[in-house]
Amino acid sequence: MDKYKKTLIKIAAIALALLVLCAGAIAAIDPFFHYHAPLEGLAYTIDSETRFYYTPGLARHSSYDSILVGSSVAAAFKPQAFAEHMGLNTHLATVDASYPKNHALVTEIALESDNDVNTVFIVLDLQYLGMPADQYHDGDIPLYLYDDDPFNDTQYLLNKQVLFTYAGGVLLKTAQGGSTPSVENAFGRPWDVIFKEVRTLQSYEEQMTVPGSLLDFSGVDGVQNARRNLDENLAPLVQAYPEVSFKFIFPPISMAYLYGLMQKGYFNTALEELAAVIEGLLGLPNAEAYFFLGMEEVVANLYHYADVVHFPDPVGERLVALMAQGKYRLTKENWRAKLDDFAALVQNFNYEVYFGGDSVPTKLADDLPALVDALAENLDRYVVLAGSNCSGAFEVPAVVREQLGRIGLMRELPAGEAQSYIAVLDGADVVLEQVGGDDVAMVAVDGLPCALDAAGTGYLSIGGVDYSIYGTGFNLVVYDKLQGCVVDSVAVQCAAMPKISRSLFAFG
Amino acid sequence: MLFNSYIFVLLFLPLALAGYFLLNRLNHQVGKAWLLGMSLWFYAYFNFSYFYIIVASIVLNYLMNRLITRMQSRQGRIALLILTLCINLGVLFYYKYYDFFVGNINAVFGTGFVLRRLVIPLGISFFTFQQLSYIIDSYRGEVPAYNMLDYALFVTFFPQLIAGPIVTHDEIVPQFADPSKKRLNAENFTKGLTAFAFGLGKKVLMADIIGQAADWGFASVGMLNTTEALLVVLCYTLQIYFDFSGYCDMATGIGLMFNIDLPMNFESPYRSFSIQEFWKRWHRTLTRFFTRYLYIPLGGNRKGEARTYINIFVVFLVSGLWHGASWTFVLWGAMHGAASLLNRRFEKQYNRLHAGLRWLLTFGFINFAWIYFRAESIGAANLMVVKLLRLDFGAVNPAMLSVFRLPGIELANRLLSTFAGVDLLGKVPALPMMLCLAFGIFAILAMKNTNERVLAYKPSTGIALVTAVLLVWCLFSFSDVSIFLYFNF
Repeated sequence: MDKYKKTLIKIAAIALALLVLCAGAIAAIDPFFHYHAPLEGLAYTIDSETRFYYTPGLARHSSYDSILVGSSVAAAFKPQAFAEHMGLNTHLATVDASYPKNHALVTEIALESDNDVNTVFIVLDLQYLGMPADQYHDGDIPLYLYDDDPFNDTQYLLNKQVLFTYAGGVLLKTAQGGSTPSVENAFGRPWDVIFKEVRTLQSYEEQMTVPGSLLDFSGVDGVQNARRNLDENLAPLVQAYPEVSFKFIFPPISMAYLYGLMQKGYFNTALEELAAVIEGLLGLPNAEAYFFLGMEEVVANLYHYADVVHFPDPVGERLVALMAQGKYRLTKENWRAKLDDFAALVQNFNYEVYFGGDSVPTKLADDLPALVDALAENLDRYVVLAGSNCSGAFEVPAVVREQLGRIGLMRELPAGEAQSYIAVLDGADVVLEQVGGDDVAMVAVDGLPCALDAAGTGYLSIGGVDYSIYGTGFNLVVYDKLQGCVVDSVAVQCAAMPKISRSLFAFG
Repeated sequence: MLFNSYIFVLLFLPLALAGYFLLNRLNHQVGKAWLLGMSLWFYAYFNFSYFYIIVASIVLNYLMNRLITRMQSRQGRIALLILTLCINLGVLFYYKYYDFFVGNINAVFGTGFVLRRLVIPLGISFFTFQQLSYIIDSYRGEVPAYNMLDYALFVTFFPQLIAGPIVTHDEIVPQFADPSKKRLNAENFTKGLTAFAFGLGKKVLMADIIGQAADWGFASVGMLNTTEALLVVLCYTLQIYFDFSGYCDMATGIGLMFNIDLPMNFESPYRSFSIQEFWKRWHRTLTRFFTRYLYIPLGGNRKGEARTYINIFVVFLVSGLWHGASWTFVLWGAMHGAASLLNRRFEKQYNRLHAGLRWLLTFGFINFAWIYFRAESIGAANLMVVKLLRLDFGAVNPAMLSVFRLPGIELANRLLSTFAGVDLLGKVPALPMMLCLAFGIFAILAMKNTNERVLAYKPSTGIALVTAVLLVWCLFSFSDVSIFLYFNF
């Protein structure tokens, strides 16, 4: 045999050996669970930023009797809530920014798995209802992990990043004594979530201006897309599995987003999208629909949101409990009325609660004297919760005492250093004023429970919602009895200048 | 279809080779037909609608050639030649230059002609020029009577179809007719596979990685400091060489596997000591085309010094425009044209300079000109130059450094950190970038280019190992894992 043939054979043999070794290692460890469930004894990483790589594998190889699919909004729904209120063992298979086609794809994987799935929860975000019916995601998804085509597994098995970062990462984590996280923990919110009005409004401003955002509908034929999503992705799925109960959830998207829809002239289109999908779904015998968009106590309170769409786990749990009771369920008889109520809520809502205006004057104040002026002008209307947030002792600046003294606060406060300060002012009455001491829980605001932390953290909650923005200094939460809601949350600086801020962690 | 794709390496290439050599045993025409069919699949895989364009182009040019060769009168042949050139250039203009032309009309005259925003058929500049050379040679009576299959295979032979080298009919058709090239040849195949592996390595392991840094830099010119701007320009200089020459090396390698010698397109161009030398080493087949079919017909150097300079400058302007429909490319061509003229005019004085200084001047100029080639606009290129001249040296942005932190390097660092307590990347974050760029510069200046490697090829276990590792490493680099960061917060 000549030298060239020998070299050729050597090249082929070495290449084949390397291929088998590396691809074999990936298949054996299987960091994305494409072929098998996590192996005992190995410590896997389930990374939320790449959750769309893990979702299909986990849907195939986990044990459950029900599944929840949806976008990042759906991450507020937890298996414990379904277990507690419905007695279900629910698997979370959410994929950030996923469209209805993706929901259908993941659901189909789950229904074709070895699990005996009896209930499917599909969370249909309003913002993605009108997205193209032939797209899976706001970005690419690794379809080779979603389908059963063995040929395109090359992208998984012959992938340097899977080999080194993920399969290698599993071995390294195992060697370090790590463990595989639960899906629930791994697929929890991947971000450092703060649910505050200021965050929601900041997000609103971004969404209104940034191209490609959730409020950019340029070039989108939403109604047509929504109909296609129903006809091509959702209805065929429901019809293909008549023994399975499909529960479609229309989650409570914030009023800031809904206001954005109106500002963009898209709200009526969104209503049409909803009408088309709801009517279609209710025509399917094994489908139910739950409509939380009109749930004013959630959508109108922007302290329930981390941005224009994402609400926290307690809200998710509450929704599951309501669904279990059959509440907020749409029927063929009531859905049009519910949609009309929702439209009326959005169209008639007083948005000055968020942005300030004649009806909500405190929001227009940009320093402490102006805020106190606004409160003092109609003091009976407001309840003010105050709480200090300073590490260690602090001295109340005279100018702050002077200003707050105008509405009755800090008049009796001893001069000098204080460890912490909390107070509740209801109209002209100082209901509570305390330096140091214990935490306080009381019914003080329109019959709602409120809680104040006396340890100097600034925690101020009303009705179980934490309204403080945790500025260093004094935090003030203003409840407007006329509007029936919190209209402002500010921080007052500990320094001599009585500046106020509505930014999170102001002055920190 | 891309050379650097799973389908090409794992399915298409083995199938094309096996089919060609097996069918050649039956009948060479069937083998060639198979190769033509595979080449058309290769092309249509990008976008099937352009399949019709290339087929129509081939049929039209072939028929026009037949008409030209049969035409007796010289005027008739000239008329047919002009008609064919007009059709070819018209199609090229329509797809590649229409928007550029109309955009400029709109800008100058304030008109509102609608831009078509057409997707340019891949390789249209290459296959158009290839067929132009054929038609012109046909008019000159330099083309034998090829049959349709030979002609179509000459145009579509997939290794050179979409990115060159720009081959001439007399380089390719006779090789396919050569009986000694019909059977699998272990020597050619081994050399070809090695050339392919090195080309693939240049493209996948160098150009595609360094290119991410260049992309980042050119997308964020406004925020660059001088250090970053220098690195970004160098990255693009390396990227375009490794990308284009890597592709040509792969073409050469695949050609060799089929026993077809394709012309050398790059001969270590960054080793050049002058711009004139650079153009003898960079994209040689394009330079050859322009010399034969533009420079010489314009009069070349036969009509005096001034006309020679004009001709050279025109060639560079056209070359700039050939590279892309934008004023940035025209300016890039003009810069190289001017540099070539100066080089020619002051050659004696220039050659007296120290070789190191000449290399530095040449390499510096090439880098500088690439800024205008790569930038989105002349304004963006000027801004990059401003960034370079501002001498505002500073730290390199982590976004740029992260490009070079490859999975293997990250894993090695994690292992070091875990078991030896040394976080090397934490201490020297720029280390992967420095190593990558240093290797790139070493490779372009000191390592054998692929053609030299093929010529000096000695079969051994060492070269087998390098080839196999490169192939597998590249194959594992075709796909990655993309992180989806939810930016709506």
